[in-house]
Amino acid sequence: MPGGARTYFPATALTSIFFGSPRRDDRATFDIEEWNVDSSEVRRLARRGELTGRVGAAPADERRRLRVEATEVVWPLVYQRVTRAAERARGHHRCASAVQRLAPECLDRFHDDVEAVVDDLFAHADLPIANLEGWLTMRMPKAVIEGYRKRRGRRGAPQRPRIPIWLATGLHDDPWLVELAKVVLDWAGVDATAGASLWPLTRWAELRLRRTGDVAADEATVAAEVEVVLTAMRRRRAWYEKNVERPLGRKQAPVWFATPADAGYAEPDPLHLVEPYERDDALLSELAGRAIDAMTEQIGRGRRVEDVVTEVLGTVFGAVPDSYELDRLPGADPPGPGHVVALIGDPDRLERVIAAVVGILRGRSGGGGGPSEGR
Amino acid sequence: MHTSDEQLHHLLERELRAAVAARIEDGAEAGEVTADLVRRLRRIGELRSGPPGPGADGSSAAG
Repeated sequence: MPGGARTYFPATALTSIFFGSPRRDDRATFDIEEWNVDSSEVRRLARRGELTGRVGAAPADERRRLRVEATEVVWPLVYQRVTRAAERARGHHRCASAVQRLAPECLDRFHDDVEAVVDDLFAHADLPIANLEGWLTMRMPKAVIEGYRKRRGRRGAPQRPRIPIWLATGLHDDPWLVELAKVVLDWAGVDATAGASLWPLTRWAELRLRRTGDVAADEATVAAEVEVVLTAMRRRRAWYEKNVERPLGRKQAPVWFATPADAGYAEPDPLHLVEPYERDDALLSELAGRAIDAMTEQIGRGRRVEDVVTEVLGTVFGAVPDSYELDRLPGADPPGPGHVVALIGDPDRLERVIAAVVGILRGRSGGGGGPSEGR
Repeated sequence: MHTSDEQLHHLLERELRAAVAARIEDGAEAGEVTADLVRRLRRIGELRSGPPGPGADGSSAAG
């Protein structure tokens, strides 16, 4: 560090124990900074402002070695400056006491933060860094946030969740529901899971208490409010799929570890990312949509509207062999009629539905009896 | 104002929902009904990928 203040201390007997007796040409003082620098290639390169360039040009093996060295420097700082405070704030006092005591999900977060800081070091160490720890400490908050955003981006979640005006309006601008919508978006994009639940309802119930002061509300209240928020979000299906469903689908399902305390208890139900009724709703909607597509397509091919509607709605609502597709190879003909089930058992009702659909389709094609235009 | 497609979708979805509810009420199991819906969905797919109708070659469709 030319011209800068250096920390020297006398070469005592203690240093001699570790480093041997000073040779005749050794200085009478020991430069701890220089010793640190020489002990690590990462430190040496950073000191010369060559680390970023070297990492960019290095073959994979060397990059891996530099990453290991950098991680050795970075992790204690991240734990002290970032992880410990975050774990205290979460109430994870055990996790805040030592790295070895981090719970699995907290350890994952810690690893992510260390990776983010190492990435930041490798990307920006292109100027001489005299005090690596100080430089890392200064950049750490920004690097950790940037890493978090990048991870969200990789999961397909928005990097900075924002509540669109239409959603806030759909929630009647209720401050708590709008905040809940934001934490739902935030939660969808993080790696963390909530045990066997989809949402961290306990934490959100605590947040609700802090925001509203309503002591009567519990997790069940928040669960109902989450449904209100999700219903409002689903009004724009494409937005919902992009911002909630897709990132949620990329969460790693938690693994259940049996412990002695669980003896006698059954393994919990698997985590469902959507409730069964939501899945069935989606199935009904898809079936209706595909039926419309099929009718439109067939009519577009020149078939009579009545014939097409009868055929397609017969498939949607009529009798279908329940063995269909279960006992045949792909491409083989369907089996003969076996036990059949009809969704609408009343022929009159089916006729009325068919007549209504024919009416709509004829109206769409201008009221004529000919084929409709394709959609 | 709803388009005809929305009207159609709404009508079919409403009828499907009513039909499913009736079957569940009659004692069908939810999983069985879901499997039935999936079967119907696949059959619709086969209808769409089936051969062209009689009028596809330009001839008028029979009565």
